[in-house]
Amino acid sequence: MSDWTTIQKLLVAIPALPLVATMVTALLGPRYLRGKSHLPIVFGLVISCVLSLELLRQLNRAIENHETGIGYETTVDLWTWASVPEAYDGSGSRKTIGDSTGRLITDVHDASDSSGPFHIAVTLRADGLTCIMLAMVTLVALLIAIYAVGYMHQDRGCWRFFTYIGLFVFSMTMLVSASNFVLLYVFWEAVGLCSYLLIGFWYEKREAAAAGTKAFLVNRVGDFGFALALFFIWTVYGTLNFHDTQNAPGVLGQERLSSMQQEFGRPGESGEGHPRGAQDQDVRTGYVGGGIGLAICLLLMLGACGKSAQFPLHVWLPDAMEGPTPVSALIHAATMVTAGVYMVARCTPLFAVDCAPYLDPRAVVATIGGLSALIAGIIAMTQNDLKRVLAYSTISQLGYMFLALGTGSLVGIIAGMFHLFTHAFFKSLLFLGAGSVMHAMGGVIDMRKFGGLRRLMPMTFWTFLAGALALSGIWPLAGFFSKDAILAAAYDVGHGEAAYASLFLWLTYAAFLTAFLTALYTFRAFYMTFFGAEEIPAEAGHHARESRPIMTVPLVILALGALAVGWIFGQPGATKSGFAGVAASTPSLAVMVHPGYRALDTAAERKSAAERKSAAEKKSAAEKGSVAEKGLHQDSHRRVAIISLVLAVLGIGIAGFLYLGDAREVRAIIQWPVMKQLHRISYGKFFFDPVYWILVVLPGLALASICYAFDRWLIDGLVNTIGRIPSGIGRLFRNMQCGMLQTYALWMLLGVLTLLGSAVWHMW
Amino acid sequence: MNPQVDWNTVWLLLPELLLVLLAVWAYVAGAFSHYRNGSNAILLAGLILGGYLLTQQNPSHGLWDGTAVQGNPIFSGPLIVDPFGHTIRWLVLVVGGLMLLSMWRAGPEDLSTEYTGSLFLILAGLMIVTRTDELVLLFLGLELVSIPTYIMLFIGRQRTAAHEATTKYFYLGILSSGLLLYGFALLYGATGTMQLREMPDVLAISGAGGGTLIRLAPAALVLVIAGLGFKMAAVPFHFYAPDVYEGTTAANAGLLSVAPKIAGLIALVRIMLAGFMKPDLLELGWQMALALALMTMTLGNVMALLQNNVRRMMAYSAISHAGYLFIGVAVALAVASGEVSSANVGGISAALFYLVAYALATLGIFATFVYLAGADRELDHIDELAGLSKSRPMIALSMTICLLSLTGVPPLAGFWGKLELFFCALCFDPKTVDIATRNWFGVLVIVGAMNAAISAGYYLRLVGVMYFRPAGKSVQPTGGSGPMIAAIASAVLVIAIGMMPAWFFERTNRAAEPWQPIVATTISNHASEAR
Repeated sequence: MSDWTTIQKLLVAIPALPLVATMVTALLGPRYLRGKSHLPIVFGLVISCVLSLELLRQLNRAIENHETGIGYETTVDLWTWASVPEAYDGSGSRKTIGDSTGRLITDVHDASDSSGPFHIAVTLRADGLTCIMLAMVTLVALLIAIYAVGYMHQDRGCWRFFTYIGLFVFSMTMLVSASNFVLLYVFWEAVGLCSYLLIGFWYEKREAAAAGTKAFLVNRVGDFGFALALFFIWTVYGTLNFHDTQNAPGVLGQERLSSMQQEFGRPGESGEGHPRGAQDQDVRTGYVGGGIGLAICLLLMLGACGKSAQFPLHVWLPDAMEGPTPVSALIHAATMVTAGVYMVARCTPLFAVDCAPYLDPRAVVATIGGLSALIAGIIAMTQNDLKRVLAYSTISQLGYMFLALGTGSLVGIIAGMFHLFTHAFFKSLLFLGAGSVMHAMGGVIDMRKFGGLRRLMPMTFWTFLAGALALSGIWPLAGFFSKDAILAAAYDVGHGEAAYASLFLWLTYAAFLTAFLTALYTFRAFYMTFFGAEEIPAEAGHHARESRPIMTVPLVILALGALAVGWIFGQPGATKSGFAGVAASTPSLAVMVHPGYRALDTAAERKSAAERKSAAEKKSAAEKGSVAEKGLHQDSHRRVAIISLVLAVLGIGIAGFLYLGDAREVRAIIQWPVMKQLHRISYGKFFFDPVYWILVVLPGLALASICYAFDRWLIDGLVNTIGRIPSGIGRLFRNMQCGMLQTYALWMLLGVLTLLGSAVWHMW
Repeated sequence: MNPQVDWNTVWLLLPELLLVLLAVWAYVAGAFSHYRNGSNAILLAGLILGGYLLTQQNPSHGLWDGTAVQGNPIFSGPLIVDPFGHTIRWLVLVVGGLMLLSMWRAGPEDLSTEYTGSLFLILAGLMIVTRTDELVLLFLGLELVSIPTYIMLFIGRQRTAAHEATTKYFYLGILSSGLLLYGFALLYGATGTMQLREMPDVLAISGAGGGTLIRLAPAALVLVIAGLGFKMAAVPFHFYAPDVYEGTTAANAGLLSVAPKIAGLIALVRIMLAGFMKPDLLELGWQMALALALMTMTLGNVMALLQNNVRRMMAYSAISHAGYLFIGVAVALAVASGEVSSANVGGISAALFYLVAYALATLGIFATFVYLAGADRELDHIDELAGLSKSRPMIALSMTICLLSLTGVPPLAGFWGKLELFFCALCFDPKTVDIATRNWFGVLVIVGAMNAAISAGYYLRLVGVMYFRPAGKSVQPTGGSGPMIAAIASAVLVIAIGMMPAWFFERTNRAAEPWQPIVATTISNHASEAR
């Protein structure tokens, strides 16, 4: 421990502090801390947050002084969790899998030494992606925890709430700093558990308990895919580590990544005219493509869809709003739901393999993202529950992030991560604002029941406005920079030469439409809440006033963040140490500027090796230059920026036209036949819930009742019948116990005689 | 054979003599003072002193004269000094301490010292039984257990039902002693010796040559099993148990469920594995033990299911556990009958471990009953335990632990006991035992496991009443702190054994070791054994 570097010490301390705070709160909370249960958690989070920022600074310095290898990473081994020697029989299992898809699959390593141990260590890892996530998670969590002190102060289960929050922050920080898939999976489940506990926090409420169950079950579907993906990764690669170990090169380790780079430059091999040239490239790079590679990616994406609430598994997130509002802000907007995005970004090299003749996995990711963004945007238009509008908006914004990851370019992926980062600020701000409104309105969150609150709650009003503008993508607020970068990346691919160019073109149009819808629904909610005649529901009572400073101060800080983070980190001219620089130093992403990386728009090109090499070098040089010197915001995309800005302003304007004052225009528009149908679909949330009810829940319930009947009548009946036998036997012998001394003596003597008789029979 | 009583023998008997002297002191002092706490404290101190004397007599580490038992036991007059007897003496002292605690206020005030004095005589008798090698001393030891028990039963509770129970136990006890004595007489007739260690040689020679009296040996075997089966409460010699337990006090019932069972098991093992060491006799022996085990386990458990009186239920529980002890005996006999020189000590070791686990848990439960009752009234119906978890959470927990241990729930002592018993019954060396025998023991294990499940039916019923039934009329515990300490100490010991069973298995294994060498030496070196 003493020979750890500062980075390693920080990396261990950041999750450890919330864990300790959680244990203290859990032990002392119910008896001693009670109303003061927030103290250990807030204290732990303050230190954790400071340490995260310090870690970011240290990492920045380390990146600048770092020359060798792809990107920068450092790991810290805590202890070995599981170790099974000789668990992996590379040759046998690999052949089987190779045969089943008709494709030969081998590894960079010779088949003879391909057996290896199953070795899972509790290893943490610091790189660009991790450090950004850590800083974001701890900062947002800290602000929300402070806000929750005010929000939850009357709740009896205060200690329970803060215990779960601490546990969540511990799990989330571990999730982003895990250095193998197993640990990632463990904390993936742990954050899911925390989410379940917190959605159902008010478990006396029927809807809350049901929403918690729904979230958990829908997530199981995704986790099932994730687990299968891990099994595939283990079978194919023989390791589940991200980083290299002495036993096996990690799935995302330097060795495998650099082989992707070096092998490309060897023209002789692919020039031999092998019939399956594309796949050979993957063989040499150490990544497995084809059916297996696609399966891994799709299953990982299924897991990400569950956690990040993407189509078709998005149905749980709106219901999750039954939880306390700080939870919605922290878990269901800023942090946990972005775990899917983080995971896919982390696995970029896996998604970059050539899966010909099958789909390109990145196209799937982008399509799911674009579809989710659009669908959720449409649904958000007609919802009346303020928190649900924001929930659909979250789904929509997460869709943007997946769209960005699907572009497969460094600019795109960094744009996605940047949007994740900025979104955390303005979306948690919006949720906390909604919570502030809800707090004042006595728990009412239906926008039709209140209005005109701008004078009553000025702080909430102004901070909400900042958040709404940032979400709509108005320059120079946070959302503008990140969303614009995503649109630009998608636009680039759409106008490139890729096989999927036309798909991306459509996705770009969808994204533009979504940008318009975003502004529209955000300001619809904003106007309905804060403008119009002042209206206060009866439930509010005398609570209807601005929230206390402990709640408004975090709002203000987040509002400043929503105003500034885009400007600070997303400016043209951001240096190597800016957001893009730090993110791009992650080995998984840094590999993309190396010539071996297969960008999406070169997938269809089957040029000669030399041509490809020069093209790739040119391209990588261009990307390197663009990322390092121009940052995310490229001059050539001014057009995209202007279109999106115009669309956003248009959206805000139309929202003002429709929802400011009397809403008679809305009533009129809804009468149009097309709009009537559209409204019905949007209001019905595209009917996902009833369809799932019929397709999934009803068959499940039917099966369950059959099983129950079987168990109840057949098994129980059988068991009960068997259970009656012993006491029945007992009743038979009961009469022997008559209480008479003589009888007892007689029985004893009879017993002796029987034994004697048997002895005689036996011996003579 | 005229054993010389020398000073060495007296030294070896020092702990027993101490207990007898304390008993006599208690009887005499009781005539002058009825100060219970004082006399009980002195008696407790005496037990601790006895424990100190035992540490000085550890046969593995050297006796008074420095000689250590390494494999072969030492004989001194009618005594046998071996780790087996030594281990049981420790058990007797611990059990004695727990009983003294739970009887701290038992019996009428003016007869209290007679009561505890009798307890000490019983303990002395138990210790003598554990280390005797001679029929006469063995019988004396057994009677030293029985006769004070009659006294204790009589003075424990001044009520008609108690007197009826005492009478029943007395008459049936006399009958069983008669059977046992008859068996001893036949054994003496068949072998011509009182020393157990000399019997196998005589039996072996006679078996080859063929005397007439040798044919009485099987009859002797049956009578010995019958007589000791009564002490262990094995079916069909068990009939007294439910009536007597129900009629007497909880403290006396606790005594009855433990002390005679120790005496019976030890005497049985001593006689069967030293005296009847002859293949055909051993074969008859294991078959009888197996039959008794099957009947006793099953009948005890199914009858216990029907009971509503706690002591009656525990009586049937005690019967069923006697059946489990017989599993170990049957295994030991079967192994010895198959190949005399085979050194399988599993059966004895397992039975011994089971005896320890059973004694501690049972004493814990009866101590709880004593605690919950009082001087003038007893806890009778199960429903009186309702709500105990609320009013006395600690005592309810300790009793639950003891009950779960008797059921055989891991990781408590009873689980390891049952595991070891079943294990030794299944793991015969295939060379030594034929297929039919192995199948019989397979059946025995299956029945044993089923019985464990049945027993859960009534043990968990008690737990359920304590934890899930709302309190009716609340029980006022007037038993005092002695029984409470005994109950909690028992539970702690049960957990301790369950947590580190290896330490105890090591000791019971060492205790069971001497059996093999005795047999080997006595048979082969008969001529050279000069005495």
